[in-house]
Amino acid sequence: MSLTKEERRDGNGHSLSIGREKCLTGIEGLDNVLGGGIPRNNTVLLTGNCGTGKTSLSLEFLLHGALEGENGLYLSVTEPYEKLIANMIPYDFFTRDMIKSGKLTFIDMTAIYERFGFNRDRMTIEDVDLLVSAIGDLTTETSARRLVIDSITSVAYQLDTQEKLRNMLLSLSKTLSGLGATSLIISELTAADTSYSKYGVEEAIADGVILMGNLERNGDLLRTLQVIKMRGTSHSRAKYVLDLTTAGTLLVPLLKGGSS
Amino acid sequence: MPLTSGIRELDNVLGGGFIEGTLCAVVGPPGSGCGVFARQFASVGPEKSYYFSTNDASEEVYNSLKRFGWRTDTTVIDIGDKYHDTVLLRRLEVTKYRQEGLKVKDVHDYEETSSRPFNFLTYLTHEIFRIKPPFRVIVDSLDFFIDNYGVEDVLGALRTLRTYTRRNSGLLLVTLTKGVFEPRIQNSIDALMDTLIELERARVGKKFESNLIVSKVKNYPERSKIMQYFVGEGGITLME
Repeated sequence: MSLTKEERRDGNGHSLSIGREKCLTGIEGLDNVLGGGIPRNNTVLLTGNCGTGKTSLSLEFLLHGALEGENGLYLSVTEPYEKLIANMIPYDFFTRDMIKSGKLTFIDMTAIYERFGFNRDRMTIEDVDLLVSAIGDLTTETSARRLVIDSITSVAYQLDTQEKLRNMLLSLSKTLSGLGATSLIISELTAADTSYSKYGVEEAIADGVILMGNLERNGDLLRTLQVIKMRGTSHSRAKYVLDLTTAGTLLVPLLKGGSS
Repeated sequence: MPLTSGIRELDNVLGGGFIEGTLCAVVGPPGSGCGVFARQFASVGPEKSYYFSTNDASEEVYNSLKRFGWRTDTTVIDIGDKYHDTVLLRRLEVTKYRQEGLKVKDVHDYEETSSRPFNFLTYLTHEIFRIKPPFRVIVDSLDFFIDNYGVEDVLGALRTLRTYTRRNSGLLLVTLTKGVFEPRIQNSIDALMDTLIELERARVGKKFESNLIVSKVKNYPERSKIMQYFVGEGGITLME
């Protein structure tokens, strides 16, 4: 367990927990912005337009966890995991052994839908409950402490009412938090979206919102990241520029970023 | 050449049997003997005979043919069994996962190929198209296809099959349970048929009175007739 600056210990070494225990994302710049990482058991909405690096960032979050001995679970709706890994940035710290040893588990959500015989056009309330409890079961089985759902927008396509989406997110975040998992829920935005999430309810329910975006500067398209909200920690709300490298993601304050 | 129905008195009424190249339906309430009629029809005539069974396994069909002492050279195509394997087993599996939950292995083991649903109506049509004339084909019963694919699709398939049957001088006989579908569905099926035979059963005192009604013979309205029948050791027998 890593100490964060918000944790103080008394003379006997007992924690005088002032802030909550943090889950280091392993992305140094982001951990600094968050004051030591994501508060444990938080469900965080990672939102942004396509190509802003949501998938890369969330994969990196799991890889760093695996390196620290924390199991990770990646639930993907959009693409099969072999393709996902093939397209992943060839991080220096990724090894196939992480998957073999069970530190990293990839789940194709469409297989869950098929196993449960969901009607693709419209999931019932019972289906939503089943899906949430299945995600809970898989989290327990893999002893996952970090989880990524890529993406909630794809799941929501099968839900015909906002009520169902709200219920699902609430019970999902309750279940995952109860199991001691810190989760990133990816939400896909289109240029036309004016709020932080496609349906507007996701951002209200999540414990945190991290917004990723594109920014054009000097003819270059920069990736940006901004922590909009994060329950349980004080954080900067400034916009940062991202640099995706094989050594991991680097965060640079916007003022300096891209000027070199 | 007319095709014998397997019931002598009925052949007489029909002018020798069913007219070749036509579509016939036997309609009746459960227990009235539609299945017996279908089997009796399947076991006669010089043509090759094919029996598409949705309710009974092939063995049951052959066993009942033997019990009546009829020919057993008809080819039984067991749709029910195929339906069980591809649809019902899958539903059972779904129930299991819904009840017991999922393990990582269950998700990883899932193969995409199994997700494309098998269309039994297309299968039926295709199988019949492969049959070389002369033939008699029995579909027992049409209920299964209407249940699963709706009346519009079934009517579409029947129209295609009627053209095929007409061109190849074959004969297609279907059974349909009366009172299961709404009148509109029943009427549109009846309208498509060249020959329509209804089995009717009423209780009179402590006895059943069973009537076989030839309610439609296309182009030969004078052949319509009501006759009493009973189902005995020799199958369906008409009383005149």
